[in-house]
Amino acid sequence: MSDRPAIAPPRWARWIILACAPRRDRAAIAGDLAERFERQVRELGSRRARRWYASQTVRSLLPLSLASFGDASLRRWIAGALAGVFVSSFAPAIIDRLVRPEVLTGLPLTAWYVVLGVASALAGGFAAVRVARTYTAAPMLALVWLLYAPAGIHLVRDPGRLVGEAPWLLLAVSAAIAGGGLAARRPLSHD
Amino acid sequence: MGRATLTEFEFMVVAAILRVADGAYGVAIAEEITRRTGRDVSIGALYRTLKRLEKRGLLTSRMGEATPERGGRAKTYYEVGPPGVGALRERTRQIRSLLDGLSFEPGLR
Repeated sequence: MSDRPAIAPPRWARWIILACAPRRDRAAIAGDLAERFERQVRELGSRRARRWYASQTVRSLLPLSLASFGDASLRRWIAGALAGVFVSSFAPAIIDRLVRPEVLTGLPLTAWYVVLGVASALAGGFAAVRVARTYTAAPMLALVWLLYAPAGIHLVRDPGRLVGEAPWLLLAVSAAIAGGGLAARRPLSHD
Repeated sequence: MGRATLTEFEFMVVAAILRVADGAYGVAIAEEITRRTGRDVSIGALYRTLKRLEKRGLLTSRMGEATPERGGRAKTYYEVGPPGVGALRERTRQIRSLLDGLSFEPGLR
């Protein structure tokens, strides 16, 4: 497309803003931003235009997520949450029981849970978004995941472990959100 | 059904759509608000408000044409329906009533 501006908006910002936007409005929002960005590049230069785009992203994150939240039907939310809960908590528990005795010999327990937890959170985020068809299902799933995952159970039993577990929990939440983002990528490419 | 009320930003959005008239899509609405009020409008706040007003039956929307400067993406045009005009009129009446008889000179009431 030769008409596109040579200077592109920051990829991370574009991705985030579109991932959070309600599906129905994604094309219009993407178009409006592209149009305004092109104007900003002409009037202010590429650097300030990119900064403008980034600030639009930060300021729009909450309102667009809330709009997406209201956009999804209750049925989709329940379906998404169930898919997420199943994939991110029950499935790894089953796999763990089946696989661990043979595979885990010599592997530290924490390492196993980190790998399993991150993989399951990623898959859970992906599943929730594919079923619920709204990106905001991913943060919600991350919260649900925290309640059910082994790390979450540890925390309920022994809240004093929060400090030690914090980076690991953060990693898991990020993985769930990243999984959701991956799932939201495909429909976005058609916008 | 109770009379629809508008928040400050909703009021601005509805008024801007009426001002822009036929070509009221996201960019035009945001620019009209900025030009008239000096307020920098974020795309997220604007679209959330547009969606809410549409859901409340104050606005209607239709898909427009895709243009190259928009990366081939279509515009969504908005129009204010009779309930939206009514809500705007009511809000204006409230503001006028609050301001009626007030002096803006310092120290005077």
